[in-house]
Amino acid sequence: MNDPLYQKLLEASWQRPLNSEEEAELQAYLAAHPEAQAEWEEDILLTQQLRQLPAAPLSSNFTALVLQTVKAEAGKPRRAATSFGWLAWVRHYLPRAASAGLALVLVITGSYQYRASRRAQLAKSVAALLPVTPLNPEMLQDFDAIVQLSQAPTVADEDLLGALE
Amino acid sequence: MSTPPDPDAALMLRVKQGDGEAFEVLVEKYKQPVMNLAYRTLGDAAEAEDVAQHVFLQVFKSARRYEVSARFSTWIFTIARNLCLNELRRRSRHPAGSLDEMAGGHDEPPGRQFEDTHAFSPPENLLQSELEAKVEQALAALPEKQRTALLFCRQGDLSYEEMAAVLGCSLAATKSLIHRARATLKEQLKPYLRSGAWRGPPH
Repeated sequence: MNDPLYQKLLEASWQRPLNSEEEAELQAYLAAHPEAQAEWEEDILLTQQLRQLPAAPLSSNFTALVLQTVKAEAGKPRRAATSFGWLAWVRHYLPRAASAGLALVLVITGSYQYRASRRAQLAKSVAALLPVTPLNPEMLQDFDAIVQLSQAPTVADEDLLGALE
Repeated sequence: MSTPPDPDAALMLRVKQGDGEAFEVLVEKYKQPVMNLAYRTLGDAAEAEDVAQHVFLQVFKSARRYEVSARFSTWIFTIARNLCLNELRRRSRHPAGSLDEMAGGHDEPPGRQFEDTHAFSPPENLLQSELEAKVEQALAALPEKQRTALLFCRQGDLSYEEMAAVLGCSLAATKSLIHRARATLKEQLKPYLRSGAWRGPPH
């Protein structure tokens, strides 16, 4: 029963009784498609039964209870807004500020620990090398000159090599 | 084509201006539909009433920020469904306890006054009661989205487009949810449908 007209009538009947025009359309449809009659009747019975379901139990003083709760609630923020506005502001932003502070402390501590561990690793590597090549202070007397040599541009060396060739 | 003005949205705008009477009118109008949804979603009258109260409290609290962007009914049923889903999630995490406990020791609220709806029924009503129980049972066994779609459809307060907005899915998906829910109910209640036991008095 995928006929669009049938579907339209079916969906309308789920929500409300069909109007006279729809009822006429239905009768015409069922006359042309008698095989749909049984399904339609079954569907209508289900709809009727769903409509007949009793309303959920509701206490007779429900509205009074709601109004009382609302009245109590309405009193709270007004006091907070007038006398303790700054307190509400602090309460609102304090958790965020605390979270941000905590995150910052974690980042700084992590970075410090990372650097400390790197330094410790370096010290370990140096210590491992020491027994192999005991450092003599005289060996380091030309250290600065050697370091500068390695940083000097290589263009001059290339020019000299060209001239020699 | 312009949409017709929504009288409930107009009432809500009055609530926004601080009109308590307008709020009371809205509570009176929507308390039963909201309660029906909460009761059939949660399956417990006391919890459902707590949720229904929270729905109206939420409506009141949101009044200052309220803008007419959709029909009021769509808005309030969205709040109601979200609170029901929160309650179901809370219940799955903490199996015991109610919303009042969560709210944390307010003043003791005045007792609820339920009417006695279980008065003596003549024998001919027993069959109807039994059938109602079967339908309630079958409804309760449906997935939440299918059940909610079916309940909105039954109440007729919302159009299919508005139901889709509350359920957060497309129009086609909403209709499909209703189709599937009805197919499941028909399957489960087939013996009663076939026997004609539901055929009421002729109109």
